[in-house]
Amino acid sequence: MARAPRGRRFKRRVFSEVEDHLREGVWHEREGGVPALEAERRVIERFGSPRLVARRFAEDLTGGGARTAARAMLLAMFGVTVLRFLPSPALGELLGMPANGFFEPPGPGPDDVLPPHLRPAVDVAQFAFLATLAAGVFALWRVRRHGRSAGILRGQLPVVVSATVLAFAAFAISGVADTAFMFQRAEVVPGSPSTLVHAVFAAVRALITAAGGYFVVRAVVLRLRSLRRLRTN
Amino acid sequence: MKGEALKGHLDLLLLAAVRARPAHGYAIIENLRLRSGGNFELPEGTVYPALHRLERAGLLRSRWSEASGRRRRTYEVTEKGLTELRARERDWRGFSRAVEDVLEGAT
Repeated sequence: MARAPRGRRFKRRVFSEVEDHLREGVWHEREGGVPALEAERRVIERFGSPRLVARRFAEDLTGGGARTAARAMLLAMFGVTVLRFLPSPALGELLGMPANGFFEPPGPGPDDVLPPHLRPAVDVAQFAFLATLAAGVFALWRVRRHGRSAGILRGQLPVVVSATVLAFAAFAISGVADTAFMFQRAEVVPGSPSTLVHAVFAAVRALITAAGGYFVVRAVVLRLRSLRRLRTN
Repeated sequence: MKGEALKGHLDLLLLAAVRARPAHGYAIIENLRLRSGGNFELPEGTVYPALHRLERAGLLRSRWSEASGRRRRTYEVTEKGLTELRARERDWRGFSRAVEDVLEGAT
């Protein structure tokens, strides 16, 4: 049971249920006049191999893990995208509002102040963003098509893991950079309400970035562990 | 009927076993064994992943209770579980009737 790929609380619950099950079984056997050792042997034999039970847990949880990872990826990316492009001149024009401290405040953007040798990093970050979005959509499509038995295929796992790690790094780097420059921009219009709005946006974006990255990395790590355990069982 | 053959019908059987009254894992398995006349054989431990999966799907709910000084998890069917059970029962009865018709036609 300790090999089942879930958290501590889940494992405690499983251990409690198994203990109750085995003790109940032994009690019934003893009520039927079976000696203690023989009762325990029969109950354990009927319960089945722990490896088999752990495998069933892993099979049932894998589909759920893939769904969680895919949803976390999509939610994180959607949230970051919305926050990234919300205070944009295009939206300001759409709403008929002039460019002011809220919509594209004056001041340099990250691309303008980054050293030239770091600008390709911005392109890589954007590519990683799209790659992980594609991986997330693909994972969700596979789970919808194959149901709970769908996991991420072993051959595809390295690709998804690489894209996920890259995207997480891209989230962290671009999120920090954008937050820093957002504050810098907001300072150009001191005292304006947009300063507070930008601060809130920055905080929420950082939170979404961290939460999305955490859930994605956690799901990938749990999946890797379950694959390793299934291979060794 | 052995474990692998039962696997595809386990959800239906578990929901049916819990429908009448809430029960813990051991009681559910005993219920299945008694009602099937001993025909259903499967490793008892494999029922727990299925129960957890049904709970995650919202078809069962569970709660802790105390019994003989031990913590016991008791499961009961939800409204969604009852709806799902009725649908699967209909499907199963239709399937078994069709199989019977084919077998009768073959003899």
